[in-house]
Amino acid sequence: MFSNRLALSVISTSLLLQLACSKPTPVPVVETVVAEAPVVDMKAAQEAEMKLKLADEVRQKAEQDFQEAKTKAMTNIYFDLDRAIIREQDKSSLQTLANFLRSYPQIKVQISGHADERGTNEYNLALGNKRASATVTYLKGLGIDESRLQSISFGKEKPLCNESNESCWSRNRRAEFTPIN
Amino acid sequence: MRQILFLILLSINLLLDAQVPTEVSLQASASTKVVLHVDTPQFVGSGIDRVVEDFSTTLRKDLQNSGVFLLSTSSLADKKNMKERGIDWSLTYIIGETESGYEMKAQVTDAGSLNVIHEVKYQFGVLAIHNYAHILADDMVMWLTGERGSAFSKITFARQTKPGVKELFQMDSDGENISQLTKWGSLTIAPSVAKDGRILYVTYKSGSPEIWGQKSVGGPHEKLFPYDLKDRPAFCSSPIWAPDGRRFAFVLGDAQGRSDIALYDLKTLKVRKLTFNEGINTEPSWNPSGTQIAFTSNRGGGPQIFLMEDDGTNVRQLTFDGAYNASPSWSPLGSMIAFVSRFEGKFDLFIFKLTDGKSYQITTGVSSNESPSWSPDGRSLVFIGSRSSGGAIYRSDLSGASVLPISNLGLCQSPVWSIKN
Repeated sequence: MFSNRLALSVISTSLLLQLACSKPTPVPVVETVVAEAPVVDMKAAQEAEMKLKLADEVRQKAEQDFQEAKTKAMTNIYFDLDRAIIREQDKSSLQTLANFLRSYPQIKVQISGHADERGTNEYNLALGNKRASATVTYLKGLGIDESRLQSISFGKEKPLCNESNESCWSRNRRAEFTPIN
Repeated sequence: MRQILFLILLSINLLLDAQVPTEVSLQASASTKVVLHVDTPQFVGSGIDRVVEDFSTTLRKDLQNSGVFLLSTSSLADKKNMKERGIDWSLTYIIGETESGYEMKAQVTDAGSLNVIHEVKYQFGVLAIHNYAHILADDMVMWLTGERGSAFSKITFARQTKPGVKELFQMDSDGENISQLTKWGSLTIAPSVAKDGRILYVTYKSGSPEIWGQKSVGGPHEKLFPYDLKDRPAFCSSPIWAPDGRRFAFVLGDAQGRSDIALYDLKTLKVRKLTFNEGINTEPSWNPSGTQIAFTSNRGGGPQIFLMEDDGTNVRQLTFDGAYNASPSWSPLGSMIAFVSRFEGKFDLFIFKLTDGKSYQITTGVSSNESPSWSPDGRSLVFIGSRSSGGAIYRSDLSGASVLPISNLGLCQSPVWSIKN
């Protein structure tokens, strides 16, 4: 090992001496260093860019998944006239919401209770509170912590529609869900 | 003679209502009204014909709405013939300019004796024209019945200004002089007005319902409940001043969906629950002496009207007929409670007479009539009707025969009629 290194050193020294005697300028060595460096950085940059792009795609996909899950989870549920009992057909919607809240533990949700026009303003505010509370109770039963569920009542103050027919009334007798970060 | 007939009929009704002798009869009709001739107003001065016209228009409207006068349409050249034309009283008034504004002199002449039986004189500035027309109309009612009318009064109400936003407004009892009381840019509803004019209401300006109001007359609007954030309830609504103005009743909701009537004392800042019932207890309304509260509860199934003492004891059900009775409003003299009853999805106004334990239907219409509130003199009700522009403010006499729009504004709710200070 030591003899090889010695031999290499001798050869290098003699070469350098020959070059020093025949051509006076050492510039090419410098030029080689400058020319090679960008090639190495370009690859790293491309790799970094690829990683960033991939990360962005992953983030976009996650955001898209979140938005889709959120839209699916935040589906209104509806109530019968003057009642505040969760209907059988709405229980799967609440299960979807509970799954969403388990998947995104940082999310809290506001649950607003609403009523149709066929009640007095003040009685409907109390009825809206009863509907929001019934929804909170059901979600708690599905394992969602109460601290993530905020109920509010709007009674008949914020209707989705204003026609006086059953189609409109049934849309207004609802609980609405709004995510709170 | 017509005046005597009116007083006799009134007396008969009062005798029937022996418990509360001054409340007006439910069955008031045109036949019991005094026929009044209003002379063409005279004026002294140049350029005040517009003032006189405004005064005259306001006065005539008030007298028609008073419930006790029937305005004669006869044109009288000779007052000696008044009685033959069925007229009981004649009102003459003159308006003249003064250095600081106007002076108005009014006289009432009895058609039988042709004697001046009442006269009054007022001086007022240009901004008070409408107010003094109201005051003269109320004088006329007082001269006839012994109690002032309600023309000089105001109506406070909530109105949608844009989707999801409601604010409070106030106007004179004839729909004039509308002013906006709140500009929170949020859901602001359920006004109550104390005798001294202080306002109380619910606003969602912070994101959840809070009770705001004035602690002093003319003072700023302040948050009154929840006083402390740790006391924030799941829900609060329906605040209403007690007659003493030192406390208010309201609805306190919990996370289990219960809504109970509670009292809030402005001095001690203490909340005291009065009901402890599963379900809904809401829409408190005080009796005039502040010793009892009427409210709506679904404790028996559907919503019905109940009464209790102001400490929550002696709860008893008032209404039994119909599946949905709500919005109780206790009359100014205490013997009647107005409420709404739902039939086929629409509300009509009713009055429950505490003296005979019976309900009387006031409105019968194809449209819904909600949120009754009594005029200060107890002769009329203001309410929200859906007849034309969806949520407009109407008034009715107690017979339901005279239902008139007060304002053409739509998207209104929860009118409260109160005296003007």
